[in-house]
This record gives sequence, C-alpha cells and structure tokens, in this order.
Amino acid sequence: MMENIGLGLSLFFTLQNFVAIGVGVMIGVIIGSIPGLTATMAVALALPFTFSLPPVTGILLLVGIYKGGIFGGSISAILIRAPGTPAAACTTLDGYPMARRGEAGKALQMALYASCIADVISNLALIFLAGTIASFALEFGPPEYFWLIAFSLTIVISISGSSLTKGIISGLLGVLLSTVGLDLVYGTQRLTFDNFNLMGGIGYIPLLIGLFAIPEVIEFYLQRASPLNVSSSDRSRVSWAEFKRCLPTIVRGSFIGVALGSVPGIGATAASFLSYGEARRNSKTPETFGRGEIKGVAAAESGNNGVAGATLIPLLALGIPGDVVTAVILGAFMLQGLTPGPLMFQDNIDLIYALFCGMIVASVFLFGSGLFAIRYFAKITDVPRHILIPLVLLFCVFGSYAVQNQMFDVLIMLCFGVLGFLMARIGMSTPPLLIGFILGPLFEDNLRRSYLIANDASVFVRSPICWFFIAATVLSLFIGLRKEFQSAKAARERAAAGA
Amino acid sequence: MSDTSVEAGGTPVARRSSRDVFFGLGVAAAALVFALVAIPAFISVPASVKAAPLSPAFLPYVLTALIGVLGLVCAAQAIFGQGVPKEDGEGFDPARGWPWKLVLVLAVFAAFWWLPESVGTLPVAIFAMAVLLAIGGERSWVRGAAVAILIPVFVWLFFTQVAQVPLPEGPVEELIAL
Amino acid sequence: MKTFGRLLAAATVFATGLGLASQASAQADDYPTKRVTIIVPYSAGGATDVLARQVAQGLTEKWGETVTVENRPGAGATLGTAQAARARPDGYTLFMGQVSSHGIAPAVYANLQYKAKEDFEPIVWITEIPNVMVVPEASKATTVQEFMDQAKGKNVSFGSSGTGSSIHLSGEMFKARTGLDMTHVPYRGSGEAVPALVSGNIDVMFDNLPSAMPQIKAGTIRALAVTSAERDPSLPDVPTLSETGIEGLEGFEAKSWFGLLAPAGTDKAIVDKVNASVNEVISGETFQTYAKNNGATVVGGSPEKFGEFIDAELDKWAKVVSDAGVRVE
Repeated sequence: MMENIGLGLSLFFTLQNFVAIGVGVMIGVIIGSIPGLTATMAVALALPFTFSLPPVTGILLLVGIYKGGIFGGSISAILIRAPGTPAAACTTLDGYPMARRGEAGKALQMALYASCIADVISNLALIFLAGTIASFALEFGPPEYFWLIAFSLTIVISISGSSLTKGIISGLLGVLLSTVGLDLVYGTQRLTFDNFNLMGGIGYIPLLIGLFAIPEVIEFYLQRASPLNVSSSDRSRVSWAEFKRCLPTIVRGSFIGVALGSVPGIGATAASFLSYGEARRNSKTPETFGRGEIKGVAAAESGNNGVAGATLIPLLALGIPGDVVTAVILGAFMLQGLTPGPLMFQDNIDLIYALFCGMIVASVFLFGSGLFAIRYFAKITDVPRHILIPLVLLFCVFGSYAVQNQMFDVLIMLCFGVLGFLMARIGMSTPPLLIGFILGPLFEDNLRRSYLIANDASVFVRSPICWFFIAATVLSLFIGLRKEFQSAKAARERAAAGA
Repeated sequence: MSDTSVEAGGTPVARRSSRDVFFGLGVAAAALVFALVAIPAFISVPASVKAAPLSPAFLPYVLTALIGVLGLVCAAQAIFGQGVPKEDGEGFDPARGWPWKLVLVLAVFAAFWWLPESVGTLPVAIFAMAVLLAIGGERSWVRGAAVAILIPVFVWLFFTQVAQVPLPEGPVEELIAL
Repeated sequence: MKTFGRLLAAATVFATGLGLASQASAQADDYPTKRVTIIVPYSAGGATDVLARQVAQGLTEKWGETVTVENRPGAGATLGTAQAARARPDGYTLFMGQVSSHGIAPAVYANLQYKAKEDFEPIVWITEIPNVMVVPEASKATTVQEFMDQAKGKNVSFGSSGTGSSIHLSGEMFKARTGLDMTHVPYRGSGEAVPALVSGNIDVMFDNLPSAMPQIKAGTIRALAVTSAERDPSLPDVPTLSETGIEGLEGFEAKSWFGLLAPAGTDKAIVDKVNASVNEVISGETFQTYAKNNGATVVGGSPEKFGEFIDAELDKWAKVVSDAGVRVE
C-alpha cells in the first residue's frame, strides 16, 4: 500500500503534471465563463493533444479543464446572467441579483469558496469511498432511476418564485418541450412539426442561454431612462461571518453533489438545483432566495462542483462514464491503451494514486486561478451597460451557434429568449422549465424502460431503493407544498395589512 | 416597487388578477387545442405499442392535461383572490402599443438568425452592435463606431480563430480565399 | 446620433457589396490551397469524432494545409450527413461516414434528407469494428447455445445505444434469425447501456467491441460471440456467431465501420489525391497505435472498394430492417 502510494507520488511529482493542471484549470475557467462554450466541449477539443502526453499528464489536463469549466460557468452567470455552462444556471438565481446590487465581487468570491470546498469534499469521497459508492450506483436500474428523478422533480416547488401554480406549469412545459425529437423507443418523430432541424430535439444550451440571458437584454431596452451604470467599482468581499453562515449550506450542497455525481447520468445541473432547493427549504427566510441571497450562490456552486470529483467514481471504479465529460475522459484512457475499472486498481494502482494527487492539486490551483480570474472578470460590471448588453447578445448568438455549428440553434436561443421575457412579465418562474427540460427525458426514458424490462407496474416497487425514493418524493411534496402555502398565506396577510 | 404600480393604475392586486384570469384561461384553451390537434397530428403512435406508458404520446397527453388543469386553477385563484400579490415589473400593456425599441430589438434578433448565412456573421454582428448602441443611448458617434466595429471583430476572431468555431462567413470567405 | 445613423447606412451598403464577390474555384493539381473541413455528424469526443481528428491531424502534417473537424450532431447522424450532402463539391468539405449514415439510417428512416448513394462520392474506407454479444457475469450462459436454451420461452431483453444503431440492429438481426422472443430496451449511448447490462437489468447486448472491452477484461460481463465474419485478434477465444453452428446464424455479419466521403460531383482527381493521402496516414505508426488501442481494424484501399462495400451494406441493412419490421415512416 505505502509502496504504491510512493510510486504514485513519484509518478505525479513532475513539472509537466503541474503545468498540465495549471493550464487545464485556466483554460477551463475561461472557456467555462463563455456562454455556449462548455467544459464538455473544451475537454473534447483538448482530447487529441493528450495522445502525445504521458497518461497521467494527459488525463490531469482534462480533469483540470473540467473542474475549471464548472467553476468558470458561474462567472458569467453572476455577472451577465448568462450561465457559461448549464451547471451554472442555478447560480444566476441569486448571483445576478447580487451583482446588480453592486456585490458582484462578493458573489464571485462565495462561488469560488463554495466550488473549492465542494471540490475537495468530492475528491475525498472519490479517494476513500470509490469502491463502496460505485457498487451502490449499480443498484440503480430503470425503476430506481425513475423514482430518483421523480424526487428530483419535486424541487420545482422550491424554485417556483412568486406563483407556485405558474411555476409548476413552467416545469411541466419544460418536460413537454423535452419530448420534441425522435422517439427513444420507436424512432418516430414527436412534435417536430415536420421540421428537419427539430428531429434532434431542442438543444438545451441554446434553451438555457435564451431563457436566462436574453430577457435581461430585452428588459434593458424597455427601460424608459436607461441608467448608464448600476454598480460602481465594486470592492465587496465575503466577510468571515457570512462565510460561517454559508458553511453548512456548502457542506450539504457538496454531499448532494457527491451523491448525484456518483449515480451515472444525472449530472451537475440537477445537483445544483437540488442543493439550492434544500438550502431554501432549510432557510428561516426563504423569501430572500432569488433576490440576491448569498446562501443561494453557495448552495448552487457547492452542488455542481460536488459532482466534479464524484462523477469520476463510476469511471475509475467501474469503467462506466457518468456523463459526457467522463465519456471523453474514458476516451483519453483508451487512447493511452488503459482501461479504467477494477482491473486498473490491480494493474495500474500507481497511476490511480498519481491521479488522486493531481486532483487534490487541481483543487488548490482552482482556488488560485479563481481568485486571479474574478479580480479581472469583476471589472466587467464597470463596463457601461449600453455597451455590455449588446456584447452579451453577441456572445449568446455566437455561443449558441458554437454548440452544434447550427444556425437553427441561434433561432432556438432567440425564441426562448422572447419566451423567457414574456414569462417574467406574467410572473412565471423560468428555472422550473429548465429543470423539467433536463430531467424530463430521464423521467420518461426510465418510465418506459421499466415497462420494457418488466411489462407490468409491480416493477416500480421492486427494491428498497424504490421505496426509499417513493417516501422521499411524497415527503418532499408534502413539506414543500405546506411551506409554500404557509408563506403564500403570510404574504397575503401582509398585503391585506398593508392595504 | 409595489407602491409605484398602485400609483400607475389602481390597486395592483386587481390589475394583476384580471391578467391572471386571462392567462389561466388562455393556458387551458391552448392545452385543449394542443391535445386535440397537435398531439394526434404530430406524434405517430405505432400499432405495436403494448402498454399505455410505452406510447410516444403518453407523456405528452399527461403533461398537456396537467397544464390545462393548472391553467384553470390559476384562473380560479385569480377570481377568488387566492393569488399572491407580489411586486413584479409594471405590466406590459398592449394598449400602449409596442414600444419602438422592442420592435427594433426583435428586428435585430431576426437579423441574427436570418442574415449570417447569406451576408456573413461579422457584418451582421457589427450592424447589430451599431443598432443596439444607437438605441441604447450612445451619444458619441466616434466611440459608437469604434465600439461597434472593434468589439464584434474581437469576439468574432476569438470564436473563429481561438475556439475554432466555423461561424458562417458568407461572401467574406471568398474574399479571404482570393 | 444623425451622423452615426449615416455611418450605419454606409456599413449596410458595404455588407451587401460583399455579396457580389466572385467565387474561387479549386483545382486538383494544387489541391489543397486552403483549409479543408471534415464534417462529423456526432458530438466532439465520440468515437467518430476522435477518429476524424486523428485523420485530420495526419492530413494536416502531410499537406501543410489545416484540416479541421466540424461537429454537426443531431437526429441520429442524419442531420450532419444531410448538410454534408449539400456542401459545395470542391474537395474542401469532406464527410466522415459510418455504418449509421451510410448503412442503417437509409434503411430505417423513410424520410431522410439525403441519398446515401447519389449524394456522395466514396473516398476511402478507414476502419471497422466488430460488435460483440455480451451477457452479465451473473448469467449462467457461457456459450451462445446455452444462452438460447435458457432464453427459450422467456422474454429476454436486449439493450442498445439507441433505436437504429448498429447495436440495436445486430440484436434485431439475431432475433429475426433465431426466432427468440426478445424485447429491445434502448438507452442513450453505450455508456448508459453497459452499466444496465453489468447490473443485470438487461439480459444481453450486441455492443461495439471497444465500449464493451473494459468490462469484458474486468470480468463483469462475458463475451459469447463476435458478430464479424472472422474472430477478433483481441478476443481470440471468442467464436464468431457464424461459427456457433446454430441454425439461422450461418453467415451472420454485423459490424461498425468508418470511411471518408465527399459530396457528389467532387473532381475525381481530388478524390484520388485524398484517397492516396489518407491511405498513407492510416498506414503510419501513429494511426496504427491509435487503432490498436481502440480495438479497430484498419482497412484502407481504393475509392471503388469503399463504394462497393457501401452498396453491400445498404442492401444488407435494408433486408434486416424489413425482416425486423423496424422501419420508421
């Protein structure tokens, strides 16, 4: 054991590895902060370069890009309300209001602290619990997934904003939109309206960018007197008291991230929303969420970065990629002639330990380059808004195109921008639509797969995991609804008293 | 914020709830039309479907039904005063007509989708930037022109050269090739 | 503001003027004189993309002109394929074809936006990959015959990476030929389907060899047979389906393959030049190592050889699809 660790360390401590991690994290932060250019894309584009590098160096480069990218997404989410990566969508909810209030620096800092802490926790989970967690993840068949997703969908209640009814409509609409495209089981066209471009479904990155960033663009031009600048040069910092207040939220968010990251296929976006929903539910002042609550930023960012290390658990322990990024990293292993999985722990244990070292170093580098990046990025708030807003639109257009190199995606982005604008005008929350859209296919696929493997409904209660998530779903619905009704009642009474 | 909307048009709760009644009923009606017309026409259900949840149309029907019911709930809440009053932006009032800035912004959107493949992304971006700067309140034409050209060029170079995104170049491509 | 408006008008005129610029034409002898693009109808990072990038890198080094990969994913592989079919046939847009775009999709989808034969000019067949019939470790079957015996009278589920994939169609072919009662359970990509097989949620899968290999090596799934005509060098003890001697399986052959094509109408001289260059690239050491690590067999050869192969594939899959009744109207 000690001997293996020693071998791993000697394999890791080369200048080349440190450079790879540093460069990777930096690239990741920058690419991740640009809407439309995601961490996934950056990792995929860097893949061919790893072929000529030693295995550890190449894979650490990719891991660095991935971690940097997940954090980088929060930068544009906070500053311009355009999530740089889908996982940062949740960060806009409170990060952007904070920035508008002149606290961009504070929001970015909190995002960085939450990301790094979650990253470390996630790495530790990977290092010490990989085997246990991985075999647990294999217990998830279609019915278990179905209930896990059903449970995750109940967070729509917590992110519905001012009107619960409209929020749920928004979530259902999101699921409905996700059914567009070729049917999974029969390959037939669904709601494509005979449009060839819709056969592949609606792209979720264009949808996300449109829904979140574009309404701000439209709103800006509708203001009668356009204020040139809202936030003056911003020197806000996270205070120690605020950090202490957020720490429990961050730790909880990290564990939610680890749990969802280690189950293949759920992903960082859902984890950040779940973490956010939990933070809001546990808060004594849930009404401050969505209006620049620093805990909201902490919850979202710890949730999505908690996934980053954990998603490597199924990959390293079982050789199973949990999402697109890990699928690309699996490709990198294969290009090197290595096959992740139980055998790798026997044959290449030194390599595994070297990777673990690298991941911890990557967390440190993430902190360093994050501090560096937010110092400069925060200056974006000094750009006059009448120049910044068209620039945001430019990035949205180019970024949407970049996802699949299709002009049609630009149209999708713009349409959802207008939809998001109209939804905001009628007081309908947009995050439930995104959550419905992301979880919808998982929900439906696993519903139908369950029927395909069993042909009757008893399969849905086949295991303790099913029962656990059924109970969690019911409980979450009950508590969530009761809390919303209470706060709605309180709001009505306040309004009545005010009138 | 709620105070200003009181000044602008009667009690905010009353104005908001009538809007919600229309919204709710509109959603319900749209759901009905969707279920009766769009789903049968645009989702083909193979004859070999064994159980109802396996049908491609199953989830869309369930979702549409739920949306329709919630639309009615929303309208009912507004009628019976159950809606939560809240401060939202001043309502968009169609009676006042479409603000000309909104029309221009939507025109820029249309240009961004329609023109890049024939004219090239960069000229469209410069043009859009210029229009938006003009309606956004840029006073100095020197600064306006500089920003309208330099920023799109810089962003365009970043996407095409650094990120290697093949943005439609239109006729510019031919000029470069010559 | 007024002057600024006039400037805008001038810019508009300039932009329109660019539309009148003349077109450049390509000539075979000095081809390539500018950037060449290979369209890949899948996302970056997938098997097709990685292969295309290997080839692109080799060609860039060889020609001294940049060869880039452009990902146009969506709707199976059909969206990017249709766009490649409509590209200008000047040799500067090439297409990475595979069993989906030029074998299965034309058979499965009635309303495709391209014609696999008429819209494309084959250039060179690059690699092929066998599929492998795998069962979970917990399954008692160690041979195809044992699997058949246990499956009789039961409803067996077979997983795939999606409806219309070679993994799905191999299963349908097996089902049609053996008459077993098998239910297709589609996943989104092999990455999702393999865990379901490892955990026994599905009973069998005809996965691409490279994505199944890590689990086969780890012993979590068991390879019963390969679907190619000959045994695979990486699994010398695993028989081919044809060898098993089971009635209906003789001559069974289903595999994934990749090759470069150009839009129809591309100059024959350019096609030959690209063919020669790619053949050199794929016989080089870098590419051979890459192929070996990915479980792929390097093929190569003339444009005619690739064209004949595509014709045979189109015929074969058309028959499988009509036998299995999975055509989508």
